[in-house]
Amino acid sequence: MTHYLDYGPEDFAADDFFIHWVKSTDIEAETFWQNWLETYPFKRPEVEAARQLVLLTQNLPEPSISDFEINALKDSIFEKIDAAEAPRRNIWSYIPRWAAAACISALVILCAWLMLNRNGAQQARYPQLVAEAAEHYDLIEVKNLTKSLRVVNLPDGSSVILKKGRMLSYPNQFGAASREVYLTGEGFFEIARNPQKPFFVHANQIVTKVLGTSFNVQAYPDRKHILVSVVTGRVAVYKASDDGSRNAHAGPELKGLVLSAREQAVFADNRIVRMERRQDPAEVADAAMLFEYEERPVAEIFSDLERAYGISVVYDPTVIGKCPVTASLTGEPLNEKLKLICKAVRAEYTTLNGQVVVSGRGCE
Amino acid sequence: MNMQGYHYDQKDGMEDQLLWTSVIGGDKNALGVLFDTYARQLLVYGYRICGSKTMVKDAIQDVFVDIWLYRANLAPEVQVKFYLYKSLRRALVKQMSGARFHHAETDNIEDLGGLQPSAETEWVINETESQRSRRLLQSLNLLSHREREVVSLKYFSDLKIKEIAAMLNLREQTVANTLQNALTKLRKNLVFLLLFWQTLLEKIV
Repeated sequence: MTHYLDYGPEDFAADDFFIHWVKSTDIEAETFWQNWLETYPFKRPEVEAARQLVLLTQNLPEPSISDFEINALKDSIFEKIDAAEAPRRNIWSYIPRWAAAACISALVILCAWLMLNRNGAQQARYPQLVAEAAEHYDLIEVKNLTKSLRVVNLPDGSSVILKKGRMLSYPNQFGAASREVYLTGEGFFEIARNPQKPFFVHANQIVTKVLGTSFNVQAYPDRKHILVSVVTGRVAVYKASDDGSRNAHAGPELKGLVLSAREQAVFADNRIVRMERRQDPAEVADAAMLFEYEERPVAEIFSDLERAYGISVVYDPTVIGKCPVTASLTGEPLNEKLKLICKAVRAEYTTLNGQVVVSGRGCE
Repeated sequence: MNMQGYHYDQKDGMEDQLLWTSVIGGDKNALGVLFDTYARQLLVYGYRICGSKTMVKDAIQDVFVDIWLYRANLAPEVQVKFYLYKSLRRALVKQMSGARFHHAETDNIEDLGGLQPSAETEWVINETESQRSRRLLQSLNLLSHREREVVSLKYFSDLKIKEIAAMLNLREQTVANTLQNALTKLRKNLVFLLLFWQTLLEKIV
């Protein structure tokens, strides 16, 4: 206690107990300091100056943060946790409120899961698949290591949203008869429609075949089951090891387990099982992420895109921000969404340094 | 009178400790309560050092998600608040160095282009006290980046000098000196403020 006698205002202001006294209504602290000051009244001016200093630090300007933002952040944390953990629960981690839209005819994607400890079966894994494919194509590998979401635009116009830590490999030019990509982890696919060129997602021992639709594939290397969920369209799921797989591979038909919108399939115990996706009440209630807009200002749509795809949209809000848009964009690949929006507001977009830059004359 | 036995900050520490242990034990609600307790101050602190709300929110999201996903690896005896701040700072530094310099080896937020003193756009300035607040904001601008961070951590986040030193990878003495310098600078401005208040009071009385 004697050291307080030597203190100047800055020393008091830096002392933990002193700070505690100033900031709280603690009776014991109050008692101590009042007694102390009565014992050493000549220290009062310095103590007072120190008190003012501490009060000053309490009134430093703060950035404005609304409760809404905090709640939204909290929600995003738990959504991300749910997505990372239990595949059977809400797997639409980044598009939790995207309900399925109307069916678009599409090829079924078969996702076959092989048990990791299954005997005998060729356990085709991402590195092997990629190595094989690399012999035929120039493969581009995308790893999402830094951002929580990363959108990948494929040569055919399709888009894939990759979770953090996940990898996707794709050829810089798709082959003549098919489009093949290789996934490890989890991705949300929005595939441009092309019945002539079926789209295949190779994920561990599963092959997913699709003509054009939007769906999610979860194929983590350390998990025993694989999960395919459909947002729009229809998908066929089949095991890579199936004899029928070669037949299923070619052509625009869908063989195997056919999934419709809002359905999902789980591969476990060497069987593919269809599961009805239980609609989260929260998903149904909030249609905000459905990408269905009726006379909404384009600024709002850009904000939704930024959040859903983890991108950044640059535009002049005074010129086009308030332009109203009526559009149904659910299930469209990102670049399609952008094209449609730009058409609606008479603008154009380019991608520059990872940002989407939209410029237009406005809608007056 | 000996104040050594008096631990006024134990209570908060104990509650946090209980929550922390619950989280490790698999209680997701406890994680939520932890978030509720610290979210706002973490957001404010993070924004003060990096200037981007999006970046701070991403970083905070990563911190809490990782705490949950890797809870099996967490030590049960931990200063929770300190851990949260340290994790947040680390996440922000990583993001900031990723965004600008690919091989940044520095922990110094200033070098990474942290919050510029003149960036006032998102600061709340209370309209009734705008004169005073503007003066305060100016005082804040006189401090170096490191001084501002230390002041914020000490007075806004209530961290101890030892903890601040560990977070910023500095020696305790350096932190103490930084704090002193900052307080001295602020005190010079305080004189003006006191005069302002005095003249105001004189008018009322």
